[in-house]
Amino acid sequence: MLWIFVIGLALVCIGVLWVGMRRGQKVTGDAVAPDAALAFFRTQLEGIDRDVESGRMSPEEADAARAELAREVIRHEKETAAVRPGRSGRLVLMGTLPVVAAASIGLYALIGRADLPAQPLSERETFVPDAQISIEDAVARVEAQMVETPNDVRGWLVLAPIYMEQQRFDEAVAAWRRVLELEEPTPDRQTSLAEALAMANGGEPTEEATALLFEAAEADPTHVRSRFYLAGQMTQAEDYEEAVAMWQELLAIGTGEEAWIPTARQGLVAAQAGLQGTTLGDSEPDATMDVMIRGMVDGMAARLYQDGGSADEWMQLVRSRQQLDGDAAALEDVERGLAALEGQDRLALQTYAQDLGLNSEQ
Amino acid sequence: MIIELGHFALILACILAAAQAIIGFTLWRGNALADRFVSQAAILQFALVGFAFAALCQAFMADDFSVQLAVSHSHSLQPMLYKFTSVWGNHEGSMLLFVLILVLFGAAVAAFGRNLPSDLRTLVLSNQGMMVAAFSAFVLFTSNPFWRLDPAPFDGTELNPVLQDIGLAIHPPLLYLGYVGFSICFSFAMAALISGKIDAAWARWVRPWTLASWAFLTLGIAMGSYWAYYELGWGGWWFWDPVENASFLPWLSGTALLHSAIVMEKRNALKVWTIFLAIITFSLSLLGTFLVRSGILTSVHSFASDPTRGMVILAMLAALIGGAFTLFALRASALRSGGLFAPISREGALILNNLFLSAATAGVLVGTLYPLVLESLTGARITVGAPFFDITFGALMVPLLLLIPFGPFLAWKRGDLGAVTQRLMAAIIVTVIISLVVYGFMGFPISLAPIGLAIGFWVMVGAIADLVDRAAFGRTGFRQSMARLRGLPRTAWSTALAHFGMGVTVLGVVCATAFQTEIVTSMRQGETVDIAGYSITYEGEIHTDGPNFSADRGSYAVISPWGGERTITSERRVYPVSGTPTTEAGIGTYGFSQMYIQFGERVGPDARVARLWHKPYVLLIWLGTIIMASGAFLSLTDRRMRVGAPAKPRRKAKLAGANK
Repeated sequence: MLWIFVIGLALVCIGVLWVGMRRGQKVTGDAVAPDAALAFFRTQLEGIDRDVESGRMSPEEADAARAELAREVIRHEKETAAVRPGRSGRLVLMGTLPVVAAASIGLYALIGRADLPAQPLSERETFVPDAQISIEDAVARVEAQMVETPNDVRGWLVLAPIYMEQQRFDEAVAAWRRVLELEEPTPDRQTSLAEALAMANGGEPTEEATALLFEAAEADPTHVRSRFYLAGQMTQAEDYEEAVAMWQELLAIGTGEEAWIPTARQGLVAAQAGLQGTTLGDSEPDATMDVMIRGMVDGMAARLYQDGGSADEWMQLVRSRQQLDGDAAALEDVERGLAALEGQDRLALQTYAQDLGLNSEQ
Repeated sequence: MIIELGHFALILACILAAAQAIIGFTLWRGNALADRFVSQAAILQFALVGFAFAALCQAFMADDFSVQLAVSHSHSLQPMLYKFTSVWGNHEGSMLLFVLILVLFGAAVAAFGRNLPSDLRTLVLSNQGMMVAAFSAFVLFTSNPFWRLDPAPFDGTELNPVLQDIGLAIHPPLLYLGYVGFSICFSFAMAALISGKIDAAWARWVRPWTLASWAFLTLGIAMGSYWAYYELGWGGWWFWDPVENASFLPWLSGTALLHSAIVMEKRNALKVWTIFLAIITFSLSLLGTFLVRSGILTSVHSFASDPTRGMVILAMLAALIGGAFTLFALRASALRSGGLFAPISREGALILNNLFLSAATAGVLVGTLYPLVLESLTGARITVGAPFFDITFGALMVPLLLLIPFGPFLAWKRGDLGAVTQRLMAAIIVTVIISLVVYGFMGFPISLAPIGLAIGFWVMVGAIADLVDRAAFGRTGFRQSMARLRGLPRTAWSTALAHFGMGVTVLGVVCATAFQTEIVTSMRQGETVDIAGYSITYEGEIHTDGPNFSADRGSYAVISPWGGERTITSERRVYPVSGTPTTEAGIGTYGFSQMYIQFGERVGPDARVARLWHKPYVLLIWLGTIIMASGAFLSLTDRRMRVGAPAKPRRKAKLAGANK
């Protein structure tokens, strides 16, 4: 469709030029314009008269000026008489027209995007940032998109945390697996898959999950989240010796100022207590779990505050924070996130926060 | 689809322009077909680029975020006007605007230049075609506003909030009309050099284009100055910022061109010099447009600096300007030179004017470029600030302004300075009386300011005296003089009007510089500050939301020395999409003077910093420029400007009557 218009426009243009030149051929004799130069000399003559009139020029000076003007006119007439208007090169001109059209269409084919339709906002079936739209709708839309583009990592990265949140753990596992297949595994993503696997297994770590966590911890000697899980698991499995070592390793990674340090210390205390055969008063497995989650969240917050991160990561942080510490703490993260992000990412976080009922003032 | 069709139209225009240049340059000599071809191609290009521009505007206004430019410079929440102005509030779009105006002028030559000699018209349009091809290729390959995004983001990242102002709708288009208008003068100069044919008539044909460009440039610069004054919140109207200078340079040389073309037209002299000025003026216009984008200059204007693009720009400028000067060097000696003339004459005065303006251009150019050159050669960073420009430029302008009234009084060929002074005596006396009265009101202060005021009055009175003298008031009867006054050619009126405007601007500059009062203080709610006879009370602030921003708005009750109370509000805004804060100055206008209030940072619980300026007669600065520009436009309506256009019989009779 577009091409029809493109070719049409090109044809109209060269058509106009073509007709213009053919017509130009017919009207030859009378096309000679009134001599502009002579008209100009006439106005100059009038100017001299006016100057004499107003007393700015004496009659003698005026005569001299008129004589000078007359010489100019004679010189001009000589010059114009020498040149005869011709009309050669008609074939060249006519031949140029198809070249112009072809070159334009060719260049457009090279740099244009004829395949892209216009997408005015009003006609787009999209979320408007202010409108309330359910997470389900958004997920459904992204899922539909993923059927068409199953190799788009970004899509899976958006979906996976949402599946986790919605407790659709099997789908989360599948999404994280896809992410790891499509791109080089990173410790973070391996840990996320491990997390999903454990949750899908009713909260019990599977062998695969543990293996992934070890892999992640090994790949990055400073990776916090995987070590938190491992230390937690070991504590839970009453493998206190290993657990103490792991908690200590974790604490060694930190500089002592990170937000997750207190949690790790608590874990270490719990493991040491276990090693000595006693248990802490309230340190049931639940508490350990809580410690783990808190540690993860704090670790993530610390990283995002310091180095920044993607919109997805900020959203994950905000969601976790809201569940753990309530709206006020989450709002603080939203504000930090909004300050750190820009453009599209910023909008995404803003919308997300609104969906969670967090209304940032900014 | 419209967007893509617009993209194609731009490509077609670019290639058509290339064909126009090639055909025109090869077949220009006495070829009616080539003449017809270039004329039609020029008009077609205007239609095509106009369509492309409209397509882009449509995309912005419909929030089509599949256009990359709209994503990076617009947002769905922006008011419609700013969606529209966002089109050229960025590098790519403003380049398209540049090309649009270039083809507009080309089409105007084709449409209104029907009475130009065929060879001249063909050459002028070929040269325009060459520039259209070069600049539209630059747009297409390095700064294409039609780049698309797939998938399209849901929203954009907003136009720079400082630019979200009506000023963006006015300043750049006017400035570009001025800059680009000089391309026609440049093309005429190139045509003269190529054909070797140049005479007084040439100057006449260039004159309307020079006048129109000059008028637009004057308005463009003035509008930019006023915009900076009220939007940037610094309270200043001219900063000698490199980019301001870059726009001022072509104005100075354009003013020189305007005057030297008059000498050429009337006396068939100064041809080579006029050609040189035409080339240099457009070169400076290009410098003004592109220096901003090359990444060499940094200022509020450098919204798009990209090193690779900068190199392309510099290469293009070097080729175009270098080519023009090479041609000039090769051919200028072949041009028939004009006669000699006495130093005391109209043409002598105009040459003096040219000397001063050229020296001023050189001074400003050196001050602007010297830091850049020094930095690239030695690595030393220096800034050449306002004091340098004030002294250099001021020193050159004072004698020029003093001489303005003499020019129109001097006769062509040889004038009599004594006689002219005698005829100006009344003007001198009137100026002295006005000045003394004003000094008296001021209490005879000892400073430079009164001298500045006297110069302003002198220029204004001199302009009026010119009209009075031409109408021969006092030498013939009043009735007859009135008739003569009405019968004066419009060019006489326009000269007087433009010079008068210059005087008005001088007055404004002197007053706003010498007599302004500034107070920076913190004000609590209910607190009152007195400044220059005005008493200003801070009434407190409210929080308010605009369409795409939120603002703290401070209100001030202002009581003027003549009584009468008004509320002036000033805002500090935050645009959340880009997270950018801006300030909106509060301005109250009293006659030609303004009270300028800037609502500052919060100090303590209920106090705010307030910057208050009283700017006496500051509006005269811009009013003067409007008068100057209207002088130029008035001159354009003169029948004699429309070459070869037959006068209506009735009007001819009237003119003849007036001449008797």
